[in-house]
Amino acid sequence: MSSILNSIVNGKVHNLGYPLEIEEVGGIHGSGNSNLRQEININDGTLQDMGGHIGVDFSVPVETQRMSMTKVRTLIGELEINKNVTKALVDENVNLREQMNSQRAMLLSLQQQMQFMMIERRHLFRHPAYLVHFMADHLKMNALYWGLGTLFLVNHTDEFSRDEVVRFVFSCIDESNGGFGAAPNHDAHMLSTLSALQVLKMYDAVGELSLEQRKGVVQFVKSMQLPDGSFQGDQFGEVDTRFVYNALQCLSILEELTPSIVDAAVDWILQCQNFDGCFGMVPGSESHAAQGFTCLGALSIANALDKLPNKEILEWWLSDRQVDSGGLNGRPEKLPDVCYSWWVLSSLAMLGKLHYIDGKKLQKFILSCQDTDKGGISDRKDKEVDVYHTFFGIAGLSLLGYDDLRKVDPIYCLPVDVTSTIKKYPYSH
Amino acid sequence: MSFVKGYSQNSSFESMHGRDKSFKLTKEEALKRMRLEKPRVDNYKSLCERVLLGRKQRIYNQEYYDLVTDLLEWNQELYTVWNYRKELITNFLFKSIKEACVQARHDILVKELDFVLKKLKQSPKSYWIWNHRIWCLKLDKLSNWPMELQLIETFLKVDSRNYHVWSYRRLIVGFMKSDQEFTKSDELIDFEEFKFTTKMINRDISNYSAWHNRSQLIVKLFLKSPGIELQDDDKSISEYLGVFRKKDKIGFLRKELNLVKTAIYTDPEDSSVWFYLKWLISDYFIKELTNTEEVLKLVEKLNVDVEELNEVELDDNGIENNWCLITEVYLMKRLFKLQKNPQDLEKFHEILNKLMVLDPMRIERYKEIKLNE
Repeated sequence: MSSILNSIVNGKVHNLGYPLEIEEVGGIHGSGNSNLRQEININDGTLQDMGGHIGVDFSVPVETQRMSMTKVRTLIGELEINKNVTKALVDENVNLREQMNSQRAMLLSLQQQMQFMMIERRHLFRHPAYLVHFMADHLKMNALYWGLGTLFLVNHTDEFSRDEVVRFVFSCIDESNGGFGAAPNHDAHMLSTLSALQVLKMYDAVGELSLEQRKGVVQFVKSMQLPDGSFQGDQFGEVDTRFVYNALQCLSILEELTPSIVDAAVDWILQCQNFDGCFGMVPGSESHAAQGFTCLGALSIANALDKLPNKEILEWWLSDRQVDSGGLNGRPEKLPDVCYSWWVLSSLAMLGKLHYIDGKKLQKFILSCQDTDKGGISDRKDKEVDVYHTFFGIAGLSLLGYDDLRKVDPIYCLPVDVTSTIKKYPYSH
Repeated sequence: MSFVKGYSQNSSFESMHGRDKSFKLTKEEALKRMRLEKPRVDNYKSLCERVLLGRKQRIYNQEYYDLVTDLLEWNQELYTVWNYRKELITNFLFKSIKEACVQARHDILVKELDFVLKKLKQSPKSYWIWNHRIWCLKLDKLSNWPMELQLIETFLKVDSRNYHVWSYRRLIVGFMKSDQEFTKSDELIDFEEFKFTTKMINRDISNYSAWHNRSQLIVKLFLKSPGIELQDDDKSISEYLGVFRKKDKIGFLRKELNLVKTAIYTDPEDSSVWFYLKWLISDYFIKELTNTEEVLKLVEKLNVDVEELNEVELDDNGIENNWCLITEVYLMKRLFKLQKNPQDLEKFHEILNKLMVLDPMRIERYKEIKLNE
């Protein structure tokens, strides 16, 4: 039972782009509690389902495995029925053909996504095996958010034990200042603090912070604001629009925003806008679509989007990020990358201009970056998949209105049913 | 080439991008790999645990300084360990010298910068390492700014668009300006930076990072430019100096549009210059210009140049160039603002209709754009 917990706490969050090839890791480097032989047997027994696409989580009892396999089988069955219905309709009405074909492609793709999620579930919290797996601690909290975010968007919210995840997040509190580190005993940082609160919010567990812990994290975030309104990532002085976004979202989740914090932050963000309409890391630095997301996100949380002068130039620059392949890049003359399906698309969504790019072409691009064999999504076609690109690919698909995915909130990058409970700023008393 | 040796384009977070697919090991191969790696895994784990414990217990001594160096050699992405290193420098290395001895402090930091440089060459896109370098420079009263600028040029030779390197350059420029010991005036530093962007653009017109920086510097130089004490042998550069001194925006545009024209003719498909050109005809330059006739002449001349280029493109490739057409859209907007000529309106819609066919991905934005906003 404790192996999931172990794999989170002792093990590393895997699939941060590391090789996915091994199955028999648990018995070797696991916490010494697993039985290699038995696991391989389980594996052999169930792997045939879905033509080998669906993997098995060694850390979950066999019964649970079977149940979730049954669940998937039922769902796939439903998809089959849908596909047949689609086929019949196409035969009946030729005019519907094109629409139906795309529907069919979506169903097929969803099926692949579900298969992938089953695989991902095995890999995400696998026991570490190789050296590279042990070396990913500095991204663990972020990876937890990306991984769970993906699972929540594909409606698999129960893959992991809520209590164990929450306990892990709490174990990352940095006692010296109240923020969250990327892993236990790692320093608190704005990046990991936001990921931690996002994970807690997804599980509706923010209320489980003790009064003291809550005060601690609020104090940590507020103490990172500098006199000019910007935020640093930790006490060592790095300033970046990312951290303003982190701070405002953290305080928004905790419902602790105040005009004195927000107004200064908004003024500083506005100074980061460039000649091309988009935003950089600090005032004066080059526009970058990901910084565009953090700035528009911060302004949206602060309910200050209307302070943005000349939105059109920004909207055009963002839509110019779509290249011939349908994918989006982050800066002019750069290659497209699946993660910009999120940074650019969410920015356009916040501006109400999602239609300024070709959504169908982008969807095709994202889907073409799936690894249909291993599952998951990579930055570009035929490259190695990882949990980061998988999450932002899925989140992009969700914004595009992809069927059967939960709707994602472009501001918070969390499911909308999660963010709908967050009190909107300015607060009415 | 010693710099390039050992220089990697990949760094940890970056290494999640563009990696080739891994191939699947057989069970035997995987077990073998794990067996082979086990001693290293054990070493790494125990080193990591020791260092993090040392940090928690606030141990500041040579032994832990060396352990931290070792651990960062294994993994330079451990931000907590970089933080520990900073504390070791201030709480141990600095404590071992006389408080007031600036030179001794400088010597320690120079050694540290060498270490950082080695790490940066392995991971030129790692936030944590660049941060550590900046942190060091902030502590050093004897920082060598010209040397930092040289270092930046070398990094840009390897990757001319590295976002971190350009940010670092602007930061160094900021340090130079606030350094009382550094004798150059702010506006002179800005002008030298402007010259640097000219050099980078002449080397490669597709360097959007350089165009961006240029836009920032132009705004600063129009607010304050170097006085007559500065002369430049390069005729073109001294002409720029002249227009900045006179705050002559139209004179600047005349000069700058020549540079841009060369750039768009060099590679009409490259989007970098077109974004920059869009800015040149924006309100920042045009709005305050009162001599409407002069502006009109300039915009019309630019329009003719862009149309000509588009014709060349049509002849060469059998298809019109989207960037030419998009630019004509802005130019029509600008012309209409200047003279309210109904012909411009007609042309505006004509071009948009073409773009809707040639650039269907963005068809909706062409439907929404208004001439009169």
